[in-house]
Amino acid sequence: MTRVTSKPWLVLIRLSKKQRRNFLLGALGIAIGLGVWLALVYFKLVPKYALPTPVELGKLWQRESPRLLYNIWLTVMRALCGFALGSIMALFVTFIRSWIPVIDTFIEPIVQIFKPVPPLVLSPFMIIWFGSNNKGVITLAIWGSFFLMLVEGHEALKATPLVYLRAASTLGESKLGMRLRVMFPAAIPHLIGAMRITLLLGINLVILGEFSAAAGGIGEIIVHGYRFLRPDLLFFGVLVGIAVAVVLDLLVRIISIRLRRWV
Amino acid sequence: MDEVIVVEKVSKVYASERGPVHAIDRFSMKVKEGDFVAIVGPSGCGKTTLLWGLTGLHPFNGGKAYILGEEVDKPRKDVGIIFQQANLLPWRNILQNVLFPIEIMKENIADYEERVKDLLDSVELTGFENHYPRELSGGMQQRVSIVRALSYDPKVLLMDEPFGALDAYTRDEMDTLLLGIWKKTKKTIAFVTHRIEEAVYLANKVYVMTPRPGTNSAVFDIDLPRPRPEGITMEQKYFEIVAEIKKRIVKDVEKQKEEGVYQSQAYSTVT
Repeated sequence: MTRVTSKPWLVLIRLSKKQRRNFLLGALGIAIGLGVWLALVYFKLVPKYALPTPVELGKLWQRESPRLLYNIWLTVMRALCGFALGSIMALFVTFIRSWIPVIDTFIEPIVQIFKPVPPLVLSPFMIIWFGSNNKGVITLAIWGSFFLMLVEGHEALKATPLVYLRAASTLGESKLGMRLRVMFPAAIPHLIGAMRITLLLGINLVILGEFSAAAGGIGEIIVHGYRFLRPDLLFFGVLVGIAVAVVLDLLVRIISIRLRRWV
Repeated sequence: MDEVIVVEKVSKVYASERGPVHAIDRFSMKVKEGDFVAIVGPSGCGKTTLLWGLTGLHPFNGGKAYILGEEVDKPRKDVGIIFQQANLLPWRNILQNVLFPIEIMKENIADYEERVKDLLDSVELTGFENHYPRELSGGMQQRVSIVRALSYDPKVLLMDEPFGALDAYTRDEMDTLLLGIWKKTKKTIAFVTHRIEEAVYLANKVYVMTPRPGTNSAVFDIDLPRPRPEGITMEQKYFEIVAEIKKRIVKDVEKQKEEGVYQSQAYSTVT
């Protein structure tokens, strides 16, 4: 059980003995990873173009940090936009589906057809239709987030325990109130889980979209590193991609602690 | 207004995969204002169906039911319902849970806060306002659900085996607590249970239903003193009444078996 505090960020500092041990173990894992990296480059176990040294990474940062930061910002902004717009649209459609059965019946086959399509195969279309820019990349993220959240949201609402519906309906709860006061709150834990997966998918799609879009972003850093055999760029792009995903996921988790403290 | 609940020959037939199921057949009942009536019968006899019909959410197919003189056709603000499960909403704390009906009924919450705090106090839950349901025991949760049902001050309480899911000790405690609340609030109570001992301890009048399809078998006036001392459940007279009702139910079951119409497979029809 997560300890509940009025200051959710404190969970990061106030650790129990077991948590501290787990934290140290996690840190040890990362340290070993770093050690392997250093061993690989300094003992020349891999060719020079395959992995950069930490010094090379430092120089890269010194030289180009404004441009790198701008590209990171592009990716983060696109991922958040795609995730937010896609999720909000999906939750809105979920609401409409639960309200009007005819629309639910109408939408279901469309979802069944489009859900299994890997969003990535659509990326060329997105770029042709919406352009090699923010619009194209964000649309790709919206597409992926939308269908994932649509399926999850629908499932979450359908899973509302009957006893809650019953308790509310015997009190004469309205159709709108049933959704706002019972079904959506009951779905919160499920929806938070879905949001985390959706956000990671959003970051994924944005970076992959940037591979082909030539519109800046972490994806383009990686592609540059690959095309021009720049291990420092390539490695930096990958590391930053991971860091963005981890940090954003952590943020969602911290924000959601309050929302799911009753679980 | 003397008779608060009037049930006139109500029937309920469910459609099921195995054909129509006659849950209740022309059952009648009257409950006077401030009275405490229990309805007992073997499992699956339609007790719960009867109560659900009175909520207005699952209407009867035949007959008429009136609450406070009006035919029942939708949930009413003057009726409180308590189920076997407490059915608290886990994302709301205790205070928010007991104020849930007030929110639904679009009343001013501030007008009721004092009232629900008094009610919480009367069931010994003061200090738990900010707790979440998962932090409470089953008995405490059921006490919250009683407060929730009383929060909007309904005239009638419908209770469907409210303490059936609790352990024997807590159940007895809750029965006594309920009698206290009844005495204080003077509600009209219809209480469904399969435990005859509980029905006799609580009620002024016990309606016995036959096995499915549930119809009137007998009505027992419980001639025990009020207020009922807890020790009454150890007395000869109490045992005699319980035994008499049990005999009646056994006889009903045997009669149906002789006629070959007894359905021992009781399955739930209300969802």
